[in-house]
Amino acid sequence: MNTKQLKRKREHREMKEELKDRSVVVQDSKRKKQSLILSHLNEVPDELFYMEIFSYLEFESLAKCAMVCKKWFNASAQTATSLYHDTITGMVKNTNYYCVLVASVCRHFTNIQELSLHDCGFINIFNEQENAYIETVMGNLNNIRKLEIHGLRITDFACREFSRTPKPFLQELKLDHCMISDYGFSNLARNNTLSNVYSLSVTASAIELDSCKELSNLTNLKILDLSHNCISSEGAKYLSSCLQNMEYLDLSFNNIEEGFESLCSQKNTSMRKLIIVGNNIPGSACKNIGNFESITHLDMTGNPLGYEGASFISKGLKEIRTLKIADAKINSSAMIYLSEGIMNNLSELSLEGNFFGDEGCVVFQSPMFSNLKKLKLNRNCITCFGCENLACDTLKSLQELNLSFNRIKTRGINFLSEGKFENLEVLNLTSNFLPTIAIPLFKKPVFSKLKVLLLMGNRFSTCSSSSSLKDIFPQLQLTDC
Amino acid sequence: MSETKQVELTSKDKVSFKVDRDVILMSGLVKDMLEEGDEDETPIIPIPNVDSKPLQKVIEYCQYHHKEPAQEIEKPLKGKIEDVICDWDKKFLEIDQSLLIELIMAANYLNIKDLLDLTCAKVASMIKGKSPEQIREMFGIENDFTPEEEAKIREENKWCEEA
Repeated sequence: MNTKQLKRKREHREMKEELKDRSVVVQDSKRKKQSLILSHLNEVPDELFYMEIFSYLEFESLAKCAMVCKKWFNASAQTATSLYHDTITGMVKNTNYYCVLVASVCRHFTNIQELSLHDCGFINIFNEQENAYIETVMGNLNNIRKLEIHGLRITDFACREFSRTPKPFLQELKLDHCMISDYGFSNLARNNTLSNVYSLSVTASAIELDSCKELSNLTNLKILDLSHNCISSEGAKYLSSCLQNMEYLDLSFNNIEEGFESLCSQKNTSMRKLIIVGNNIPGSACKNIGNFESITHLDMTGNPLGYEGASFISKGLKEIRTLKIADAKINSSAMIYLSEGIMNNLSELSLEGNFFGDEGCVVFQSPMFSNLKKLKLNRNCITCFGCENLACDTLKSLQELNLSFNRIKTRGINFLSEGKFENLEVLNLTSNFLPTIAIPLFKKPVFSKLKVLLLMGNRFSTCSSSSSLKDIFPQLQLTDC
Repeated sequence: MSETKQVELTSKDKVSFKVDRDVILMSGLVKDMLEEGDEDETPIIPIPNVDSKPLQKVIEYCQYHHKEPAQEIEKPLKGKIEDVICDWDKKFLEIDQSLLIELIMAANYLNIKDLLDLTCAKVASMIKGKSPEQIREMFGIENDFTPEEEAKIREENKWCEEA
């Protein structure tokens, strides 16, 4: 743009001089001058026009323009460099060409502040040329504030390139599905490159002990997502020292096991959301979870928590609103521990796949559950008697109840219909043992507020059941029985 | 108070247009020239790069927009250009392609930013969503890549062909 303005200024100056001449010279000489002016315009290169036009295009169209001819290729690359020198965002699929553009941009404009390479797919992940582009990109981001890369392989060399210069402005870093090695990331985090980062996400890579050591110094972190890595219990120890200001932590699908105990070893009042699915954490390791007293959302699905875990969570987390402990070996006695706690604000509880049966359902009479809005009890071997236990006064604020994949028969619905589910809007009874004769039971006033009723996989004779259901719930959208 | 002071513009093909001074002041070029020029008579300004047809259009545009400034068009363009401009502009743009290109040249030369933006955005809108072949056809551009280059670019750009 600057060249254009300069050019125009020059042009004007010459025009003005010309006009001065004209006012002195007699009018007849005007025609001679015209050819002079004409030649000035021819100096204005076509690229300038293209840049004006191209500046209205988003990246995808720009990339297509680059394929039209050589002139357009240069013009679109120029536009990319001038337009996107502050912000490059593009939702582009596998983009070798995009990488060329970005690499060239980064080489020329080291002041890029935001860069996001998204959805680049896995297709060319071992493409050496593409690796080279990313290495160039990573080595040139000196003023970067926010960097997001998804699905492009970031080699050890690229990591080293990145940490070569300090990154004083870097605040948000997201490297998801980038196949970063432990060695690579620990190098990337060296030289204080991440010292000002508050949001860090490195998922589906091979983060291990060395990286955790580097991360332990980062006390500014508020958001950390290291899911799908190889963090061991020892790694978790190192991570515990960077949690002072942490608000959101996701360590799902690592191998933390007993290390969870040391992860929670220090008092912390900033933590809001902790997601640590599938880490083989035993219940005993939850001993210190009460240190994270401000947690409102906890997801520990897929850890063998048992009664110990249930007890520590229930007695430790006063502020908790959402608790997900599906597939966590919570049997009926563990359910009793769960119900004897201080989680009085609990509004969402997921307990799928714990097989605690009807006995486990007894505990819902505890007043601790009186604020529950969402309850998931799929795959728990619940029969009609469990339904009887659920039909208690404490669950009256429930809006969503999921009882799919249990063993509920007609009597179960009978029991449920005697409960006080005044606010129930969604009821999922998929894959139970309900026969056709159970359908009229939904006529009961308890179910009058239902908006969604799921009954797939039951023992209905199809035609009659769907028509009678339509009679009962004209407002409902019924899925196929 | 001098009322409607006029200016005479002469196009490339020697057609003269008399325009109100206020109107044509939208052109940065004319404005600069008038600052230098003689004040008392009707100044004659040669526009030696613009034919009478586009010049007529330019004057038409200025006559409308010197009172009603155009709204800025957002970059990058969202959707089609017709969605973001006023009815008058829509009608104004109902012209053939060669005239449109001439208008861009004229707007650039006369330094009328709003008109340049409008016409450029129009072309961008025409390009949007088209394949390279379609673009070549539309603007009569020859493909000057060598077969090797073309094959390489094509290979690298499979993603954008599919989209």
